[in-house]
Amino acid sequence: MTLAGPRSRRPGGTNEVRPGRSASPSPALLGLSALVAGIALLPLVYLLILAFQDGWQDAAGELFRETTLRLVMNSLGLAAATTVGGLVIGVGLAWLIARTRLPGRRMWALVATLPLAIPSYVAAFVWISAFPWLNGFDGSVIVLTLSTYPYIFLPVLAALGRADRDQEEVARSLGKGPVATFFQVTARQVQPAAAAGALLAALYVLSDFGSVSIMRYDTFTRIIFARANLDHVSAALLSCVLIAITVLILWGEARSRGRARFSRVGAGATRARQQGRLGVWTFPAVLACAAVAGLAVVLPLVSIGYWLVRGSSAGLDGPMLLEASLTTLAVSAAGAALATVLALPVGVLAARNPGPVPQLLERITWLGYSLPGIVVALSLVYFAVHYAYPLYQESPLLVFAYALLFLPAAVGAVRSAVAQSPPGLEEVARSLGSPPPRVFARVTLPLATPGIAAGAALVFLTCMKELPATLLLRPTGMETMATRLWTHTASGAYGAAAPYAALLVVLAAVPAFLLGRKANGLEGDR
Amino acid sequence: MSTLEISGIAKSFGATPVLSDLALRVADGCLAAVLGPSGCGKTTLLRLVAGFERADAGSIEVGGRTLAGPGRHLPPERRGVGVVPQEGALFPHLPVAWNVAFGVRGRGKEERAAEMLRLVGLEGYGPRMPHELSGGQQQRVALARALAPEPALVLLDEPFNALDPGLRAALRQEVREVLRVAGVTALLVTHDQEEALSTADVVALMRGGRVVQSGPPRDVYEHPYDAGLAEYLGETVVLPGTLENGSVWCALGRLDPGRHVDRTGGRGRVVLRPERIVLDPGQGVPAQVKAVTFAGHDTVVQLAVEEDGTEIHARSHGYPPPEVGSTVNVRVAGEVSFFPGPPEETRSGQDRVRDVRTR
Repeated sequence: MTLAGPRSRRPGGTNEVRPGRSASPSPALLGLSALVAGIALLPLVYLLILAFQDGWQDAAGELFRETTLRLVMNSLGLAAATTVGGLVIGVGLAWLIARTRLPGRRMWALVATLPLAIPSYVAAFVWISAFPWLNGFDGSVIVLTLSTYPYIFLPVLAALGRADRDQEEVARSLGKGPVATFFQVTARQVQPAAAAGALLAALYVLSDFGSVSIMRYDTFTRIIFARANLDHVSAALLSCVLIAITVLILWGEARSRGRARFSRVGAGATRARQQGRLGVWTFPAVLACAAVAGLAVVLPLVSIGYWLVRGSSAGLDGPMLLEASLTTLAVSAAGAALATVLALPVGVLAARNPGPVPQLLERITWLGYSLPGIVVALSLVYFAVHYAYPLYQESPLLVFAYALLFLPAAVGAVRSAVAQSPPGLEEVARSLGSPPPRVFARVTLPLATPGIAAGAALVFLTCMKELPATLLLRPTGMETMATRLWTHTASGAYGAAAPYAALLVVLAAVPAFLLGRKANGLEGDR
Repeated sequence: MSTLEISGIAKSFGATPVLSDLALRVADGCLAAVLGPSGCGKTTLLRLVAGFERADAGSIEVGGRTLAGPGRHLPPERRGVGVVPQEGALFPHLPVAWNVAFGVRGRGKEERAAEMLRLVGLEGYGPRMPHELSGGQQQRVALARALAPEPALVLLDEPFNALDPGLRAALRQEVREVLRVAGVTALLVTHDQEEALSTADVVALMRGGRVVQSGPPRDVYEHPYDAGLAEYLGETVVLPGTLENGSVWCALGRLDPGRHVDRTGGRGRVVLRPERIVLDPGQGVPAQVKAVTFAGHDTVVQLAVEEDGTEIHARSHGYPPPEVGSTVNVRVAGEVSFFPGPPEETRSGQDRVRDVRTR
């Protein structure tokens, strides 16, 4: 018998399901967002105009040449080799750390994310200075694999933490050995995570300019840079091909996803399980981890240290270092500030007004993320030459390029920061007599400021490492830490390059540390 | 004068109608509770009055001023309607005093904030930050904040929901007192029957997107318009009966239907409250005690009327409770409700409550 009087009928009470917000975005916000989206579209649109200004036939004649084919093969070959290498290292390490009794698993998990703190062109500097004979394809594959495998390692480690161990146990009970279980069950479970990571790695390789240039390997980015000042149309056309390849890869990945479902059937908490014994394989496993760590982390650090000592004995140029640092700080701060200001309307719109138009505007601002930096820079150079000559080779244009390139990070930060402050607070503020602009200034903005500031700081750090756009757009004579490292490395002055490499590693360590902490599957992914 | 006058309000979200032809009047200075189950549209009603949503039809007036009507929709900031949301929704980045002063214009903000904090019994809490307050204190600050700009109307959206039950009852009375002192008209949205009945001057019962009955709490509890409302407001015992010459006849004898009944006469259902069934050694019809269940503050006694075996249950406060198997006399204190129609529903209300819960 249920004793349910009126007093106890609804203990605690359930919240009523709220109807969807019917508020439409304000015209001012929508207009500003559309303006920002238009600005974000500028490089791509102008690039297309430039590439096809002489008509399709000239464009075709320019494109269907042996060089273009060679570049496609080179770029795709490098991306493929790097991705395969990254998958082997990334999935292997993640499996050893998540599923076996590997000694020092926590330590290895941390060490394995450290390569994120070494910009790939710094890694290229390290390898070319240590093994000058190692260049071209081999050198590029080694450097880029060691730089990009964490993009695969981190999501796979997290996926292994979430995966349903029951399925593995069932496979074992059905007579599958550990190896068969790994390939038939575990690998299938982590496949989406690995694919997403591999996509990131491949896109990184395609847009990478610094390390392939240092390794003297001809990919799209290197040739585009070389032709930037000689043959505008050719450089623009090659940029378009590169963009087309990027789009094809993104499209193919999106298509291959979405059919199979990889999920746990039914609820139930995942229990902590016994890790697999490695037995006689313990030593080889530790050796493999140590080899990766040695090549990807220890070698660069030791090498930079070595060149620092040698270089400073030869006389460290203090004033030059200081000047490059101050310049870097200044342009990066300006870039981060501009990116954040541009991101505000789009981020707020996306957080507060779900709908097709706000979504489209937000997607457009993501262009900067999928366009290689060199391509954006190239387009801006030509645009300035033709329409804004006073800006050509002036720092405002460089700042603008930074803002466009890293707009997605800023938009994401604004969006999540604003989304975190509850809309109920804004409603209360309005009921207390504040019109929307005042509500934004008094409630929304103050609440979102920490998140927006964190996003701006991340953009700031990323700007400091930026190389290709800086090389193309910087005023004559201006040097940032990245350009100094690049010129010194190109002329073989490794000792002189080392302080810049060290500084850049320190700077890059901050976001890498944050990312690693966020995604470390061993800390429990919840 | 700030009487709230809502008439003909309709609101749909997409193809789903939420409110239709809703009317409600709250007299100046009154506290009205809008009571209804989850999903009946009561929160939507509140959001329409506050101006967070736009009504499809109908009008909303406060003190003769039209807030919403045909071709008119004042934005929330121009309505002069204070809101106390479910969990207070204090601005986390502002100290308590700034929260309270948020809507105050012109000079004397600090004085006003201090005055309002004194009113809600939180004198001296001004410099604290919201996260340093308990849930109940946060709600009181939210009330002070809503009252500070001297609104014509205050809306309270299930404001005691997040609090533990002991605190809830005390805070309710406190809020009622503060609203009375402030002399403001208030609309409280709740799904808690006891909260509505014990706090409000007027209870408006909502069902299916409209107000089906409103009136003083005792009135709606004693004289619900139909059996469904009776059941929603509290436990019921439902018996078949007939109405003749202004009296109701059923297994418990002749009962008084009060003045609210439809006097056409005939067969129907008698609905009464189990706590009105009194075990009285002196008078009433004899019934056998079938089961006794201890429920803390009272005792549920299952009974079978000796004459025809009709099963009923009573909530008894008597001590000691009757023994199972013994015979007692039962009578009904006060008036009962009578609803004409086929008396198919004759089960005890407790089973019906269970049905409602599992449905």
